[in-house]
Amino acid sequence: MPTDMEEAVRRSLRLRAAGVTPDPGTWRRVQQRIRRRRALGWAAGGVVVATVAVIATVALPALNGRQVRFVPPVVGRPAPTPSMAPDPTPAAGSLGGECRPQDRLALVAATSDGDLVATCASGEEHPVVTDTLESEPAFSPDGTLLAFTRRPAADAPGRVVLLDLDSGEETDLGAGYGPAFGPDGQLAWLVDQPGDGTQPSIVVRPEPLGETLLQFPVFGDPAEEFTARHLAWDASGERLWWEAGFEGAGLWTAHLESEGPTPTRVEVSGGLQDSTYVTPSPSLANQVMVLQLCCVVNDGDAPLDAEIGAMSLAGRAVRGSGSGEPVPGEYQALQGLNELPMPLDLSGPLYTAAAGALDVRRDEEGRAAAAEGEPLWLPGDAPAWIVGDGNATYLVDGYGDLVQLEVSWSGVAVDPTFAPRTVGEGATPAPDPEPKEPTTATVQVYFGEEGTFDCTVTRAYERQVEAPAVARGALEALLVGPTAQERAQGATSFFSAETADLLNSVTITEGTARVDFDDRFGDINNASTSCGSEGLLSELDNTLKQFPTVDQTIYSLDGDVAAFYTWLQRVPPETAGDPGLPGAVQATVDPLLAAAVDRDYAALRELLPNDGEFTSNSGGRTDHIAVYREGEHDTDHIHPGPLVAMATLLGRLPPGRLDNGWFVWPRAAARPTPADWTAEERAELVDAFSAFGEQAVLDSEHFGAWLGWRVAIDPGGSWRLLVKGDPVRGT
Amino acid sequence: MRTEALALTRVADSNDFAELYATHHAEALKLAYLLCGDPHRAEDAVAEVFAKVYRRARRHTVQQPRAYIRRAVVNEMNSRFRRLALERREAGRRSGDDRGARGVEEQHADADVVFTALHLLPRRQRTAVVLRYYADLSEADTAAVMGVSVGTVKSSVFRGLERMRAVLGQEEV
Repeated sequence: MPTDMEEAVRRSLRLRAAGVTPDPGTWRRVQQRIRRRRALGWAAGGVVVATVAVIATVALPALNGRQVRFVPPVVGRPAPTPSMAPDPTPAAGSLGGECRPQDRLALVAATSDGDLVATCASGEEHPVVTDTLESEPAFSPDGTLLAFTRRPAADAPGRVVLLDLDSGEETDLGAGYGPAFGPDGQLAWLVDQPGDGTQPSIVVRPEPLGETLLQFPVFGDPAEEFTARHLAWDASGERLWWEAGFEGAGLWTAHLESEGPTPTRVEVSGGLQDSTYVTPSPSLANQVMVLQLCCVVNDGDAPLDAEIGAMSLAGRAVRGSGSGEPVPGEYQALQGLNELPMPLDLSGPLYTAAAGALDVRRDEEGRAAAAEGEPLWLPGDAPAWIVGDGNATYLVDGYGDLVQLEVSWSGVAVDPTFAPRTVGEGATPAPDPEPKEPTTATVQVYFGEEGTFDCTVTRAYERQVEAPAVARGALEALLVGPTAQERAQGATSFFSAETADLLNSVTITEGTARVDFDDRFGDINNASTSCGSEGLLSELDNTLKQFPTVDQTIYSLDGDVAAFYTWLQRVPPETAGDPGLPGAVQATVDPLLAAAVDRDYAALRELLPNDGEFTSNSGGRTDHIAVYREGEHDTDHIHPGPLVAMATLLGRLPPGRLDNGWFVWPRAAARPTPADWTAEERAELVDAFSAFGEQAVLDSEHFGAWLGWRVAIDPGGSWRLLVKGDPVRGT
Repeated sequence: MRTEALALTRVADSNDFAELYATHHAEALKLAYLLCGDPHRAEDAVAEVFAKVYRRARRHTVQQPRAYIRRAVVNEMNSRFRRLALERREAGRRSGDDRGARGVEEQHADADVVFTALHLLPRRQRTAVVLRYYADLSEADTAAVMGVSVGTVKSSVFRGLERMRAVLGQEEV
């Protein structure tokens, strides 16, 4: 038969639930997050985004069990010196030559006016204005050559031009457009014969200035109308990708060792549907980075649903059978573009580029900015990807954030050898930082002894743990239990792999180690027998008391000290409340706690100090207790009512000391700002206030002070305050 | 019935998912709200849950979507470390200690001392109490949703009610 309490809980929960009204906007947020969750797989895959100032390395999600990494190639070309600089005449051959001696060429962009712009590492731009239209710049992997498309007029056939950046010499490679360098310096480009019914083809040269090795069509079955664009190599240099078809729809690929080679359409699963812009992953074969304008939901011309992703081939497609049959590919989105501050203009050309080495910094407000004069280089901000149109350019940085660059390009190529550098440093890349050796310490863990009659007998076993949190490390090692070999040698324990993850926290204060376990700790079999509890506590205590800073231990289950000792059928340590409190203070804590739990306002009134020196959120009123009584019904989303808060603070948290000597709960309130909180202090705030804690902590960190409830007692035992709000403004 | 079909097949397209969402959103939201006590955080959490459910449903058959979503909500609420940026954005909407006007209904709800006492419970106890007394799950089903043993559910509910009694005083309820 249900108890009154159970019925009250049921009634309360149903009443509260009935008042919940679903927000119709949540559906849209779900849709947005579906894309973002794909990007978050990035972190969830356990891949560390590790970027150093020299090599920008961005880790992408694991696809099909393979770790996908997007690592710009690094070639040791030295920065240009004054003696290396070519003649700075205003011609295409001067690209990069105008960068100052301590500067160097970082990227080349094509403007919507058909000119190329050299951008130096400092952010200085040097446009090269010509009578012809230049576009689609592409750097060679060693950064010495730049290929681009040149047209005499917008509707004229293109020519592929190769520029030697050191000498400034240009070479016309022939008809075509969209040049793309392979990882070993190979060059490929597209050739179109508009109007004559001939298929577009792809030209491949192992050496840009050498003989043409391959020329093959972009389609298996040519359509009447077709385009091909966005040619790209994969990291192996054995495969090409491009987009082709009617109005450019469809992703195609060819393995260069296949017969023909044979162009093969890619049937992509996982969401890649339509028009794409492709750039290869420089480090991983059979994978490309894709900007897809698929599934675009248009609001006018603004794409609301474009995204960047990674597309990988698998199975026979990787081997390049050359059958011409469509091959499977798996697409995984990485970054949605639906929240661009300035949506991409779909009516004009868009471009993408791998930008692993582009020097982009953020200003103090987090905006990306060209390098010059900006104060911050944040390690990890190295961009991975650039996408843009004629009006705006964005990059996806190492965190997956999408940020806007204050530049306007219609195409961009980043010098792969350019390495970002910190402000004030020379252009010479710094050496790789030496990997830090983790600091470890040898500790003992104590397990029981098989065959002994004394349940408390333990034996020490060595473990290596990471310093400085050696006590926590030792407990974590203990909770894993003995090894099979140790068990074979007679070690017994309540701990095993099943208990390995049950440690919540370890806090050592004034000789007392407070250890909180997950509630599941209470499921350990046979630990609550008389002998069992002695044995379990012996393993725990001996492991903790090997450290000279630990004299006493207090354990809890999900913060509940009584629950732990009740489970073991033992009496909790007497000082579990507040060890080390002066007697006068403890003598006030106890009745205050009882009054709060009992909602005994009369008792609280008796506990107010006689000297009138008491602070509440009274707003000038003198009846503090009346204020608290009213406040019980004035909780908000952040904080509970005053008595609930005081019961929580005094009953569950250790105190700190204010500058005036008062004991204050929580101890975090004794810190000048949240930035001074220890991790344990922060965690205990979150834990103690349950659902309220996390938001309260975040708010406090935002506003620079603990804004939640705090209670203080002076060393003489006088209750001095129970207040919440801003301690600076006194609200 | 369409919903039953969803229980047996993958979420093949966005229409299926929209239906899944429409069917289960309100229930998931209420559960999330009861677990955290904040309607805004509950909506945020539920949006996150459905985004995760979508990924799961695209790849695997979800045999019992209702139970699956319920468990996903519990797991989400148990996750104490949300992305800081989202929380800060939420915090940024508030100002000072007066965090926005509150409706009459909300104030009425805040007066519910039982609900307030519920949110003083440790996470596991609170979850067990909500699943048992709001969702009306059996101890075994509660254990399955929480990923714990039936014994843990029993002890969590018992301890939770005991603690609420202590906080509220039996005579008040």
